[in-house]
Amino acid sequence: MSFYQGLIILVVINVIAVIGTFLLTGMTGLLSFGQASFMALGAYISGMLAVKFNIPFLLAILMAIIASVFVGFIIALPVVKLRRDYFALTTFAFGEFLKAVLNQSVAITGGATGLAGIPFKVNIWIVLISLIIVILLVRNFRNSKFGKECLAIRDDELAARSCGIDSSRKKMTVFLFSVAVTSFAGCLYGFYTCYIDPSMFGWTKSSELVIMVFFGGLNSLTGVIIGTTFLTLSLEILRFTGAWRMFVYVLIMIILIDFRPQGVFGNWELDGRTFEKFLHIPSSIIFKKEK
Amino acid sequence: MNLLEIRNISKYFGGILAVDNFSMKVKENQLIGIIGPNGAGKTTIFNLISGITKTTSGKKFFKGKEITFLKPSQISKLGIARTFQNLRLFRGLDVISNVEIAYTYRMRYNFFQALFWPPIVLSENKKSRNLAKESLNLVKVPTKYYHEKPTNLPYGLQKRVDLARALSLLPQVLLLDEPAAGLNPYEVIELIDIIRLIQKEYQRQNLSIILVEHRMEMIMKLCEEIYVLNFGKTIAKGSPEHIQSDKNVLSAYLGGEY
Amino acid sequence: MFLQQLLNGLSLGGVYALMAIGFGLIYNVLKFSNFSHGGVMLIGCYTAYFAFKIFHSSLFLTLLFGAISGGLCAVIFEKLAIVPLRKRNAPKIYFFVNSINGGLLSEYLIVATVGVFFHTFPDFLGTTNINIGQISFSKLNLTMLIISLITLFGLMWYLYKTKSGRAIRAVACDINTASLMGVDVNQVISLTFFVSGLLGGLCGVFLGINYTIYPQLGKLIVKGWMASVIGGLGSLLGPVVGGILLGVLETFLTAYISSSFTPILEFIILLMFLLIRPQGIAGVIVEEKV
Repeated sequence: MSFYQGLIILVVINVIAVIGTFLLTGMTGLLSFGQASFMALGAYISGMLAVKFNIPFLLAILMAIIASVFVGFIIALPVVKLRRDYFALTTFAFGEFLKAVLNQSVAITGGATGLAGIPFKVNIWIVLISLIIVILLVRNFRNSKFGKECLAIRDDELAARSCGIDSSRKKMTVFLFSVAVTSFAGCLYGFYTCYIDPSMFGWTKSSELVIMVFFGGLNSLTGVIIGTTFLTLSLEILRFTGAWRMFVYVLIMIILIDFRPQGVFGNWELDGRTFEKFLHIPSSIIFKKEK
Repeated sequence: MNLLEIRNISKYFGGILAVDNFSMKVKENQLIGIIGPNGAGKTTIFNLISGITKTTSGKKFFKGKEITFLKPSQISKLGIARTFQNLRLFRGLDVISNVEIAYTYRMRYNFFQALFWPPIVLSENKKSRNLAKESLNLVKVPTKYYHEKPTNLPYGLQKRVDLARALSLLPQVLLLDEPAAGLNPYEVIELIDIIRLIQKEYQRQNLSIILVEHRMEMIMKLCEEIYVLNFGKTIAKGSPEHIQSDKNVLSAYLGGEY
Repeated sequence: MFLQQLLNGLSLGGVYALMAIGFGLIYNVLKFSNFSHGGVMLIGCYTAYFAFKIFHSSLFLTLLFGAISGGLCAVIFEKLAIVPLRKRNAPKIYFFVNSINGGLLSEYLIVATVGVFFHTFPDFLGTTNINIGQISFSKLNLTMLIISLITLFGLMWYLYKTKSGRAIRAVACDINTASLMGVDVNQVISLTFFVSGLLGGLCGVFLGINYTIYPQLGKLIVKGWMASVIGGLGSLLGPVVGGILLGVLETFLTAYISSSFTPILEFIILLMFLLIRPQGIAGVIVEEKV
């Protein structure tokens, strides 16, 4: 496996994780500040199932996703009907909580020394296919009634509730979906690096995921994909520049949000409408669109 | 059986009694008005009925079943729709999607179908789109505005979009909160026609409308029964002719000289 | 032993209360959770440490230095990341994200300049304890508690008895009306950040003394937030009550169970609170009017 293939795999896994974060923040306006901890859940649960119980790769991932969704449900249940800040800070507190749990449970998870020996199962084709599947599922989701309802909730929750939309339930649904996607990314990560420890999934990683969503654009799935690819590659390639790299990175983000809060790509999306504009082909030929 | 029955509801905001022992019975196919000076509690009553604000005391019944403690989303699904004094349209959605939103709860597919089975999504989307178009047509919003963002429309049309959105809930009770606010006299006349048209179109569904308004010409022309509020209390109730000559009403509006 | 732990808990609670108040000030005025408060604590702590190293200042001067640098840091953050957003009338979520960026920026600044290693404050007041009967507790804890109380009363005096304090409260009530009444809202907001930064810097030094000085110190802001949840936002009393309760709770958990399980139990208690009484002990849930 060449260096470039490895780089691409890491980038794609990151993109999947960011898509999970984008799903939540872009659609409901809720900020989850503990997305990395769901990656950790996915990675640890699937990793432990594979290492200790020899459960096959796909089944382990499926079980890990289900478990993560269950955990997500429990922590979101009290907060999903409360103010948005509570949600963000609860997920942050959860991240710290999970880190403490992982560090303490040395016997089960290896504690701070990490979990090693996860079988190597992930190659470039698996990640690329996963990415395509995730993109399709997210796209379907956004085009469905859920997509519209979430935008409505984001714009005016009270009016949405007066139109028959149970906003707390919708927020929970989207959150659980985003947990599933993000923990899936975590599973892939575990089966690629074959070693995981709690420090990889701290609040810095969670913040990174959130920042990348805002960089790409809160409303643009393609923007988020392109943006994350660009950022992850840049950060990897510029790794040699030392500690100031991250400082400059965050500074640029602050300035970006100051002056272009809608993100680099704003509302632009690579879909039927773009094709229409550039190729002058009515999009109904390629994509079935409603008139 | 009454379609909607409000029994002695009161609302305290801290120490202030905004609504004092309000009762109302709404039968099918009625058009009822609520009037009163500003601050009388009219919008609060709408908020109480639609569940946005919790009642301090009192009960609400819809078709005989108690709805006092239901959430707004549940109440609107039962068939009570409302418009807003300050519009509250969804800025990120275009006009037709704003109206469609009210239909989404009826769409027959769940989360997993949405993810994995696009054809059912497309067919349901088509249905809701047609319904939205019907509603927009009924309130006379021109087709050219369907894909615009609501903030780009003239104010009068935005109010109609709000109305179309409420209609897409396929309601049995429609609460109109000052629909004529901000409209010029010509638009008010148009609005009166539209409301009459809505009544006619939805007669089979036994639609009843409750109207909160300041514009007397609308209230007198449209409503069969009028409730007059002042400082949260109901000071008069009856037909337009009756309340026009009621001395409590006159003193509330005009200051007690008549 | 119990009483001893209680007093230790009160001392820690005082620190948490200060943290929660600093955090809550910004929340009440600008209506968003200012995550960069953690960064302010961090910078306050580190600058205080270096002030000590260079000038060998006493405890009080070090605290003062930390507080002032915290205040300046908060204002710098406000100019950099908040003012442009306010000019655009951006939705609250962007304020929150930029405050996260601010927190991260401080952490990376420290890592880039000072490095990732831990530092410690010396024992300022010596290691002798004060003994009252069977209880002995450190001079340091007592001093921290007293300073927290003094700061708290000072803040209350400032907010309720001075003109600028009243301006802050006015802006917290209704930002638009305050500006119509002649309050220079921009100045008041900068002032609020400065005051909150003073509190944060002070907290940072306390935390550095209590634990150690490390780049991830900013993360402890989550305790301030937890205190706000338990106590309730929207008033000055809430964060104080919440902070003290949290401090006492944490001290007891650490003493009787173990320090490593504390974050786990705290989180569970937090979830319980959010389920049962999200407005906190002293808070009120404001009903949204249409």
